[in-house]
Amino acid sequence: MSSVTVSWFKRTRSRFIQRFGGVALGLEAIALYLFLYIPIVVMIALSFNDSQTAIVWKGFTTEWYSALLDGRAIARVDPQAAWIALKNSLYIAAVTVVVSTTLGTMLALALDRYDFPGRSLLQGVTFMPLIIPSIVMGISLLLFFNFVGLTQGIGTAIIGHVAFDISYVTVIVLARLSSFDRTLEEAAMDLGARELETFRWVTFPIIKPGVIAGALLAFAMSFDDFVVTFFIIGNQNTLPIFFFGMVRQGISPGVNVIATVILLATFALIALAQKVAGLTW
Amino acid sequence: MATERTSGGSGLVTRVRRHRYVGLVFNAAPATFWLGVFFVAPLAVMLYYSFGTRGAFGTVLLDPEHLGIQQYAYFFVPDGASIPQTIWWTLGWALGHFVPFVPNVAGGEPTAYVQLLFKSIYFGVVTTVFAFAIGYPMAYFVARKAPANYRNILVALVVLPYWASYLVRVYAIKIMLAKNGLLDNLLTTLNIADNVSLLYSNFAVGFGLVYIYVPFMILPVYASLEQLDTTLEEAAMDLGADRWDAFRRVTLPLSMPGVIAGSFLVFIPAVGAYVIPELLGGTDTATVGEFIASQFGSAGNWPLGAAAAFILMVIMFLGIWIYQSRTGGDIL
Repeated sequence: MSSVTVSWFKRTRSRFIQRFGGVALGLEAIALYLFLYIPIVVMIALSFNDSQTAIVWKGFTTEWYSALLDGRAIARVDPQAAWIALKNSLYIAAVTVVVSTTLGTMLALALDRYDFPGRSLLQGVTFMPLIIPSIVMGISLLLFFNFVGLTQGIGTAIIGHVAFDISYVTVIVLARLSSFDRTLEEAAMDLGARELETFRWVTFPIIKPGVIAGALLAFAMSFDDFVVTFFIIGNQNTLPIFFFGMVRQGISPGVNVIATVILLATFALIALAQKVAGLTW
Repeated sequence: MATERTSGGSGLVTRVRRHRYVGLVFNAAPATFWLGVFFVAPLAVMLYYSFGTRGAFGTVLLDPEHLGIQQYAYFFVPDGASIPQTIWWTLGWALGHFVPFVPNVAGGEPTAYVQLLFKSIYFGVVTTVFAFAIGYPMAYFVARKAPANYRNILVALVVLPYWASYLVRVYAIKIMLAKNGLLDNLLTTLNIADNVSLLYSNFAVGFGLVYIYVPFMILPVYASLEQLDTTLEEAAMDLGADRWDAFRRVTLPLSMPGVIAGSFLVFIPAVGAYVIPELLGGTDTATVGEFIASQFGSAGNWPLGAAAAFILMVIMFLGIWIYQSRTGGDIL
C-alpha cells in the first residue's frame, strides 16, 4: 500500500468519524439509557395492570394498590408480613447508621491524623469489606455467631451491617478530610480552643457534608442489603428478604406493587437527602 | 512513653504527644475493635470451619482427627487423580470449554466444583467485556460530545437507577425476560423467535449482571475521560494522526486507569454474585455464590461451603494483588 493510499484511507476515515461519530455515540448513549430505564418503567406500569398474570397489558387498574392499603392479601403478598419486614428494615438501618457513622467518622479521623505502626494494615482491613463478595461476609458471620453461640436475629443483623457500613462511612469521610485545611484547626488552638472545642466548632462543621453523605450511604446499604442479612438474621424478615421470597416464586401483580412502593420510597428518601445535604454522589 | 518524656525535653511537647496518643486510641479503638471482632475474626472462624468435616445431620466435626485439608482436596482433585493430572485436566478442559474450536486434549475433567468456579469467572469476564463495550462509548459521549451544561444531569441519570433497590432492579429484569415479556414480544415481532422464555438461562444471568453493574464501568471511565487534556489529541492530529488513531493511541491509553478501575468494580461482584443467578438463572447456571449458599442450606455441608467461600475470597485477592503490583495503583 503506497503512502498516498494510506493517507486517503485515513482522511476518509477521519471525515467519516467527524460526520457520523458524534451521532453514533449519541444513539449508543440513548440506547443505554433506555436499557437502564425501560425495565423499571415497565415494572411500574405493570403494577397498574388489570391482569392476574401481570405480564401482558390488559388495562389500567388501581385495584392492587387499594388492596394493599386495605390490608387484603393480593396475589400471594401478605401486607401484614410486608409491614413487619419494613419495620425491621427501618429499625436495623436506623441503629446501624448511628453506630457505623460514629465509629466510621472516628476511624477516618484516626487514619487521617495519625501516623502509627500498623496504620496501612488498619486501612487495608477497613477497605476489605467493600471488596470481598458479600456472600463471603455473610457466611463468615454466620459461622462466627454459630461458633460463639450467639442466637441469630435482629441483633446479629445489626452487628453485621455495622461491620460493612463502617467501611463506607470511613472511605467517604476520609475523602472529605483529604481536602481539609489543617491550619484552621491550628488557628482555633492558637486562639485557646481545647481539643473538643476545636472539633465541635471547627472540624465537625467542615467534615459534616462527608459525615452526612456517609450516613446516607450507610442507611441505603443497610436498608437494601440482602445477602449478608439473609445468612445472619435467623428466622426474622427484612424487606429485601421478604421481597426475595416473593420474587423467587415468580411474577405477580402483588410483587409489582411492593416493588414499585419500595422504588418510590427509595427515590423519595434520596430526594429528601439531596435537599438536606446537597448532591451526595 | 518513657522515652518520649526524656527526649521531648520541654513539658509542652510531652503533653501534646501524650495527648495525640490518647486521641489516636480514642478515635481508632472502637472501630478497630468492631472490625477485628465482627469482620476479621469471622473470616478466621470460616477458615477454621473449612478444615472440618461434615458429621451426621448437618453437624460439623472440628475435633483434631477430623481437621484437615480434605474439603480443599474434594474441591480441586477428582477421585483417584494425582495433582499434576488434575492440573493437566483442568487446563485441557478450560481451553476446550471456553476457546472455540479447541478440543480437550487432556482427556479428563476437573471436579464439578472447579467447573463451577470457571463458570463464575467466565460470567465475570463476559460481564466486564460487555460493560466495557457498551459503557465506554456512552462515557465518551457524556464526557466529550454532550453539551457541558448537561453533563451533570447525564451522569446523574446513570447513578439514579443504582439508588433503586438491588432486588427491585433484578425483579424488573425478570419481568423483561419473562415469557410474553417485552423482549420476547420484540423477538416475536421481528420474527427472530416465537414465544420464548429467556429466563432461567445463561443469557438471562449475563443480561442481569450487565444491567446491574454497567454503571460501575461508566462512572470511573467518565471520570478519567473528563479529566483528560484534550490538547494531547489535537497534538496527535497535528502530527498526522487521524481521528481514529488519535483516539486509539492517545485517548484510550490515557483513560485506561478508569477502565481498569471499572473492570474491577464490575468483575468482583459479578464473580461472587448470588442473587442474580439465583433469580434469573436455571438449574444449569449454578455459580460459586449459589453453591456456597446451598451448602449452608439444603446441602448442609458447612465445611465444604466454608472452603468454597475461602477459595472465592482468595481468587479475588489474587486478582487485586496482581493489579496493584503491576500498576502500583489503588482500586479505591
